[in-house]
Amino acid sequence: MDLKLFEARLKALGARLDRWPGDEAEAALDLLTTSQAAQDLFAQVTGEDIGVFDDDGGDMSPLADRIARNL
Amino acid sequence: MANSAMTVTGEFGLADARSDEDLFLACREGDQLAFRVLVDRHLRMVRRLALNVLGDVQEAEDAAQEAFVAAWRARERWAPEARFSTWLHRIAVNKAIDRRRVRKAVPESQEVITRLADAEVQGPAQADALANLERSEVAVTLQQALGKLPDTQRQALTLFYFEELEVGRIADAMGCSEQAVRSLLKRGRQTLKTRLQRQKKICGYGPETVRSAPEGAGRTA
Repeated sequence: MDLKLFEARLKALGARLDRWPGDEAEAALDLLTTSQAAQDLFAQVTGEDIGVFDDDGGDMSPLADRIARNL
Repeated sequence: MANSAMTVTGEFGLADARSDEDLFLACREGDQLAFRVLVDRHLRMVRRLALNVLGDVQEAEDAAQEAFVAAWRARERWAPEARFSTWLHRIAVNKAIDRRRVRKAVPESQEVITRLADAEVQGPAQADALANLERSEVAVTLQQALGKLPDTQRQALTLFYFEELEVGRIADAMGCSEQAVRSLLKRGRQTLKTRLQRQKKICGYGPETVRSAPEGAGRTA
């Protein structure tokens, strides 16, 4: 999978890779492993999705506390 | 630069006028409060990125934690000209992908262990029903021994031998140093060896006994 196809599939399927067909998800992960441009695009689409779809994450403070304890 | 010249109130109401980049520079001096503000601003996004890769909330939160801890540890190496959020998001994606590989490696290890057991018992008696039984018992013993290892040792061994990752990548995936990974591999191998030898003494089967019984085997004193 190249960046252009990745972008097209992101627009079509959204950024939740567990909802992609298995082989396409694996190809996307391979691209994300090697391409910072793909990572940046993935982050951009994820940022656009926050608050639009399900699971806003709820209260983040317990996780933030856990991170602080592990620094 | 992001967030400059304005006060940004984050997730927990921590207000700070500094940009992400200025806050992270402050972290170099050990300012954990500055880092807490960064966590405040970016945690929801980092968690969501990990969730999009992993599809599991608990794992996504673990990956998010690993990403922030990795960022904190790498604060000396961060180049100020790079945008902090872009850098952090890349770390988060990589941590989530590494974690997904760890998860995938566990079931695949079962098949590899069976193949290892097959290789260990090759010999004239392979076709015998007894040999088949022993082979399956060796595989089960290996699986059980691996399953009883502490999580960190099992993860390190699985990633090294079955996923064939380099020590550096394993360290990244597990959120520890390369030295710690080498130590886990060494202790894991030693523990496996000890347990398999003990099992062999108790049950009387193992790779050597399947290949060929040593002279005098089975005699009683």
